[in-house]
Amino acid sequence: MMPAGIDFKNSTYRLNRDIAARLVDGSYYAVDSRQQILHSFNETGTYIYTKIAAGSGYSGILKALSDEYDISEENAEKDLQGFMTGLIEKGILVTVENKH
Amino acid sequence: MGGVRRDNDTVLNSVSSGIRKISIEINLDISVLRLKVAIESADEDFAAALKIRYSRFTVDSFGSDYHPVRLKLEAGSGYSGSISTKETRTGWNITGRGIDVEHSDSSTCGSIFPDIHILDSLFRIICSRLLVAKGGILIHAAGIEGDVYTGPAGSGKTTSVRDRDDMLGDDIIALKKEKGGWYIYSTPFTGEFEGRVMKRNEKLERLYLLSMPEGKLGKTELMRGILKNTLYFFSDKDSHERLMEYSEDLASGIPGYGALKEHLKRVI
Repeated sequence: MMPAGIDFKNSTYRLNRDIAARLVDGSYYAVDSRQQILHSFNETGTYIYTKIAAGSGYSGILKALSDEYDISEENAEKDLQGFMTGLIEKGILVTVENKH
Repeated sequence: MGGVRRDNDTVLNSVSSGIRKISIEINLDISVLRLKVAIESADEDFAAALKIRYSRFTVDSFGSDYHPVRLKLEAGSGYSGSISTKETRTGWNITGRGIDVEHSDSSTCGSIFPDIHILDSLFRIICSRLLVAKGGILIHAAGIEGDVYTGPAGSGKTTSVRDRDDMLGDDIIALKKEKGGWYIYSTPFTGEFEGRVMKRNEKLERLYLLSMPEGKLGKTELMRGILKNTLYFFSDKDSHERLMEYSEDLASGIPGYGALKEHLKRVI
């Protein structure tokens, strides 16, 4: 579920600067250095996290996810929004600005 | 300067002044860290407790490479609450539970409540930070020659090493990477065995997670277990990146095993 007030397509994001992350055996692990909580991501989560860390925007990640896993953009969007919602709720991802 | 009392392995300078204050000076040698501690106090009982607590980790003198710690004992508003660390322009404020000090990577100064356990808490906090900068970690663990048993309170750390003559610690130990691998260092931060753990180090051969079922652990399971039990009290990203790096290095190079005690399965 999308957090109230967040328009994924028309917003830009960045990773929280307090997050220390490390790729270990193909999976990302991230520690929120303020909360001292360790998060780990599965394969799809790691793929999306890598794209976000590289500065890709929502639409670019959506297209890449659809291509990489050979699924429709509609299904990819559900996964992407679900994952990004989780990142936002955990404070790993922050909204920088709304394009409108 | 007044007389110097020299004990077997402790240097404890008691400097009398006209107002009954004494200055306690002690050189702490904890794993690879050297803390030159000066405490202004009017409490000789505290000085005695300090001597007992750290007797096996003191040395007569250091070279020039040490971290100065200057403290006053102040009862102040007591020692309730919890300890917090807050970043400042020059370092960190460590406050709460009877502690009010400013810490930077070059010195620590401030006041503490006159209780040896409060001082011990402060030393753990300082050491956790200084050690990360030197390539090591403080971890909730018991250690014997070659083996480390890590886990939360009540998981069986002390039980794992209780009868061993080669004990390196029963509550908190340091792990540090050096040429040839990772090493276990004893610390004075003991649980039941106060004053009985000698200052020494041994090569680390095996890591046991006391909260995991018996059996060989995968790298990521072990890494998570190490991170979970590592002591670090500051919120800077750089150090957390180092802690992740060290944990991965440990988990890559040291075999790890689950060692959940049968009788504790219902407790943990």
